[in-house]
Amino acid sequence: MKKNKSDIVIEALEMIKQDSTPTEQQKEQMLTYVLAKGKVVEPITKLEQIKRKIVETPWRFALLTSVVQTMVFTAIFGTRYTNLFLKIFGG
Amino acid sequence: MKKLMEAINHPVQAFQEERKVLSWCLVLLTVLINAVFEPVLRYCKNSNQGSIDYIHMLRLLVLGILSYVLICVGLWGICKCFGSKTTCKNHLFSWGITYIPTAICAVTVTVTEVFFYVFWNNVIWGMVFNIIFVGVLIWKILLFAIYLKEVAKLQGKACVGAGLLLCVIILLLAALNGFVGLKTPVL
Repeated sequence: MKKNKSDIVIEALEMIKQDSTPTEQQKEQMLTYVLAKGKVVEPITKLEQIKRKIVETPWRFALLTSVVQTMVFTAIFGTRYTNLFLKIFGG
Repeated sequence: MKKLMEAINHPVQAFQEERKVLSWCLVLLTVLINAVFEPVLRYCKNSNQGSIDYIHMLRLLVLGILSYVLICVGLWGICKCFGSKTTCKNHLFSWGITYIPTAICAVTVTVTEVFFYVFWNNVIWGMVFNIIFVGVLIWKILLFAIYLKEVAKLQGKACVGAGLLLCVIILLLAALNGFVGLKTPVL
C-alpha cells in the first residue's frame, strides 16, 4: 500500500514537471520571438549618414566643397573670380 | 602633434575631452601669426622701408588675446540666455579648438598680402588661395555648429537662435579686430 502511494506521488510529480517544461515547439517559438525583438534597429537614412560623416571630419567636406566651387567658378569666370578673392583677403 | 591630428579628425571628441593646452596653444599661434609673423615677413620683403614696430606688435598680441576672451564671454552670455549650463571657463578652454582653420587663414592672409603681386592674375595660385579661403570658412562654420551642440549643449531652435545672434556678434567683433589692426579676426 505504501509503495503504491509513493509511486502515485512520484508519478504525479513527474507529470507536473513535464507539464511545466515547454515542448520543443514552444521552445522554437520563444527563440524566434526573442531573436525578432533583438533584431529591431532604427533605420539610418542616407541624409543622417552624410550628416554623421560631416560632423566626424568637417575638414574633408569643407575642402571638397571648396575645390568644387573653385573649379566651377574659375571655369566660368576665369581670373576675375580668383582675383576677387585675392583683392578681398589679400588687401 | 598627435593631439592636434586628433582634434582635426575628431573635433567632437576634442570638445568633449576639453583639451585646454591645445586650445590655448592654437589661440596663441593665431595671435602670434597676426602680431609677429606678419610684420616680420613684411620687413623681410621690404627691409629698406623702416624697422619693425615692436610696440605695435605687443599691442596686437594683447588685443588678440583680449579678442579671444571677448568672444568666449559672448559665447557664454548668449548660450546662457538660450538655456546652456556651460560655464565661461569651459568656453575659454574649449573654443580655442576651433582655431585650426583660423590659424591656416592667418598664414594665408599674411602671405597673400605681402606677396600680393606675385599671385595677381595667376590662375593656379588664385585657385589654390580660393580653395584655402573658402575651405577654411566652411570648416570654421561647421566647427561653430558642432561647438554649439557639443559644448554649449544647445538643441533645435535654441541652437539656431544662439547661432544667429552669435553671427551678429562675430561680425561686429571682426570689424573691431580689423579696426585695431588684426588682419585675421581672432574669433
